[in-house]
Formats: sequence, structure tokens, C-alpha cells
Amino acid sequence: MTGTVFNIQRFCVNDGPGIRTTVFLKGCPLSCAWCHNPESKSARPELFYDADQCVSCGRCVPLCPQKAHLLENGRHQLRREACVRCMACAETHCPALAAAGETRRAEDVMAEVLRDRPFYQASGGGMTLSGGEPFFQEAFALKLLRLAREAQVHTCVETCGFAPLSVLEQAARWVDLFLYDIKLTDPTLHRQWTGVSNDRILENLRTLDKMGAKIVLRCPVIPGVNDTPAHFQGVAKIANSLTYLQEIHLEPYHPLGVSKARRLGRESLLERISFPSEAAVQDWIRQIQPLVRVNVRKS
Amino acid sequence: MVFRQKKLTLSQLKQALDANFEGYEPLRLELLNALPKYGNDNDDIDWYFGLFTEHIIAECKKYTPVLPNAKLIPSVFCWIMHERFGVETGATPDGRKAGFPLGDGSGPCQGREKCGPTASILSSTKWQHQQLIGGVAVNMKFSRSSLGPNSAAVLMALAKTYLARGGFEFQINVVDQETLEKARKNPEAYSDLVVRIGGYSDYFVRLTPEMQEEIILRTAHGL
Repeated sequence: MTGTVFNIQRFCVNDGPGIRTTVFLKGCPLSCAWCHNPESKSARPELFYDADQCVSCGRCVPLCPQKAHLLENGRHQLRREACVRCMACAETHCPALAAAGETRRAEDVMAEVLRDRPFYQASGGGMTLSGGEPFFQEAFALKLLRLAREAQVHTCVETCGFAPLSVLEQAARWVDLFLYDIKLTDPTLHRQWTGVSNDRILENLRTLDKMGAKIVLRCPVIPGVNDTPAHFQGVAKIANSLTYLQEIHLEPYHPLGVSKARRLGRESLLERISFPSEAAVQDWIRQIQPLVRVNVRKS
Repeated sequence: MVFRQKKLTLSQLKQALDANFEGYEPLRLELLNALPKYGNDNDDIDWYFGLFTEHIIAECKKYTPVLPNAKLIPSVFCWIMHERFGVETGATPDGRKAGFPLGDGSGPCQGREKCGPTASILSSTKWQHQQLIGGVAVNMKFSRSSLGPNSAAVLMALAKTYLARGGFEFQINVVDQETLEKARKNPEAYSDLVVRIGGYSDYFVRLTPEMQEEIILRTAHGL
């Protein structure tokens, strides 16, 4: 079984307990305006080009069968429209060019994950599946989770919850902790900012909770979009309806996705939003904490 | 590059090194970025480090100093001399230019580790430390801003795993704004520097110039 993986990041300390290896799977059914992993939206491999790193050495030019890389007056130009994502140029190990995403066998991914097993044991860590939306490649995600369970590695999944219920029910057998996104509580706003309604997401969440799944709610907070009392009250209401909820994590918006979108030749929709201040984040926590019984913290 | 891939001859490589890679930048980038480096949990390349230390141990056993009761003690550690040695050393075929510091300890050379601290520790403990009683020291850098409430537990897990795998000495460094400024000016020497961005960590030198500016400013607030 193979899947499209865009990164295997070792030593992740914010994606669940302990020291973890996070496997990022490509493909996502949502289109969040603030996406910080825009390379994960499409399920196929894509080309990263970082103009700041390019020294116009021209090594990529003869490698490109499509003539997408050009040198004009000694300056490198990338014609995105000509690129067919063959990734021949990325194999030069140029600091400006990289393939986002490659096809990997589940067993090979697991072998890489298992290399850090001593650190998982020392820290209570394990494997986290992220994305994109991991369940967008449902069979591959389930296979990785099963392999991890067989290897006795703790598993987390970062999910937007927009997946067939049957997939989440199967996953629950092998997932130790769900890191479950609540992006917007209002269905209309959810559709406006992410492209889909949150009906299915909230129904899946309730079903997982009835099954006894351990869940952490992860709430991206984007200034001007969902840093409102109404949204925070909505999060609290959802939190209080869950029996097995562990914690609520607030994820302050960071503009990393903007530079990544640029490297993919796309525009980010939120070019102008800056880092929320620490004071703003503490204020959000103060708004939600009194309304719920679980701990609320910054992720 | 020379023996297996046969991309160039040994004398061509020597020419490039003698020229301190002047006019050979594509070759230097390929040597630097395309070839595996010690410190990334790559068994094939880490094996050479073991070979190299066994050689040092065997050589030290062969000779007896003239002083009474003296012994040669092997170590793979040059204290603070890596900069001085670097100044004296010409360009090397890993893509390092002449005069640039050598590795600052027994861990990977500055900027060569790309897979994070766990892979680096595994590389640094795949070879036997116990006979190298003159010293083995593995340095690891973290940015001050990356420290959070869980950091002590995480650093402890790293240190414990290092020691459980037979590690000799492990040094954790926390870097501040001044270092970040240096990293911005000389990214190649700092490509292993990890900074916290916001529920997420990344290599400092991979960030856009604006983001680096932001991180530096933020660190100043944190001090």
C-alpha cells in the first residue's frame, strides 16, 4: 500500500504528548483561508520554488523537459504554467527547489517512524498523523495507524473531522488521541471560510465521543475571523457536550502559510494578518476557561 | 562522486578544493546538499564515523610517549579549537570552504544536521564512546524562544536517551537574539537552528527574511 506523504518530521513536541514523529499526508477536502500547510491541499506532488534562495546558477534549466525553468538576462524565471510536476529539477538538491510530496510505501514510512522509538519510550511520545487531512487518504492512514498499534507506538491524529464516519470509527480502534479541529462553530461562517459546512464534522465528533475516544479540541484562532466571544462560547458549548474530552488547545494564527503559498506560486488569502500578541492569546484563554471543565491552553 | 557515481575525477575534485570552490559553486552545493552527512541517522554514512574513531583508538594504543607512565588517550573532541583548526584547514570535499570552523564537538558539523535532534543523537551514539576517555562531547542548540512548559521534560528525554545509548557527554545550548542575527547573516553555518513559530517549530534559515525579522524581534521581547 502506498500514499502521498509530504513530510515526515521527527522531534515534534507540539503534536501530542512527548517527542513524536509527525507524518504529513497530502490532500485535504477543506480550503481554509488561513491554511499553514498549503502544500497539503492537493493530493498530488507539487513543486516548491523559493525565489529568495535562488542564485540563478541555471543548473535546473537543462533538466526541465518542459522548459519551465529559464534564464533571462542571467536571472532565473519559473514558468509555473509549463510545469508538469515531474520533479526532475528538484533532484539537483538546489536550496530553492523542492518536491512537496512523494509516493511512499506504508511499511517504509513506519520504518522511518520507528527509528525514534527510544525517544518515544523516554518521553511518552509516538506517531502523529497530520496533513492535509490524514483521512483524505483513508486506506493509507488506517494502514499506518494499524502498523503503529502493532508496533506498540502511541498514535495521534490531527483531523478536521471531515471524513466518512465509518473511517473514523475504524480509526478509533488504533488511535490513542484525536487532535480534533474546531475551526468555526457557526455553520454558515464555516462554509464561508473553509468551503464546507461543519454539520458532518460535529456529528462525527459526537459519535467518536460516544465510542469513548480520547479527544483534544484544537481551535485555530485567526484575528478578524473567529476571535469573537460568540465563537468562544460555541467552542465551550461543544466541549461541555463531550464526555471524554481531555483538553482544549488554542492555536494562534501564524503567517507561515503565506510564504509557503508564495513558494507554490499561489496567493494566500490572508496576506496582511500578523502574529497575535501573547496578551491577545492569554485574553482568549481567559474568555474560554471559565466556561469549560477541561484545561484550556495555547498549543 | 568520484568512486561510485564517477561524476568527476579525484584530480578534478582536488582542483575545486585548491580553488576554494571559486568557480565551482554548483559542485560545492551538490557536495553540501546532495550527499548524505553525519548527523542525520543515515546508517551508511554514520558507519564511517565509527571506522574513524576505531582508527584513532587503535593508533593511540600503538605508541608510548617518552614521559614516565604516560599513555596516549584517545578522544574525538577539540574543546574550543574548532574555529582555530578551521582557519588553518583548506576547503574540504563536504562542501565546506577554507577557513570555516570545523565541527564543534563529536556531533555533526554545524549546519549538517537536517533531521532534528533525535536523528542527530542516534548518529552520535551509533559508535562506541567508552574507550574515548579523552572526551566525547555532543553539542545541541535550541533557541531561547523555543522553550515552553514541556521543554524540560523533552530535553530530559533527549539526554536520557543519549546516555542510555552509551553517550559520554551531552551539552545543551540555548541561543539568543545575537545568535539569530548571526544566523540571518550567515545561514549556512546555522542551518540546524530550530526556532518556535507558534505551536510549530521550523529551521530558522528556512524562514522568509520577514519571518526571520519577526522571530528576532519576538525573541528580544522574550528576554
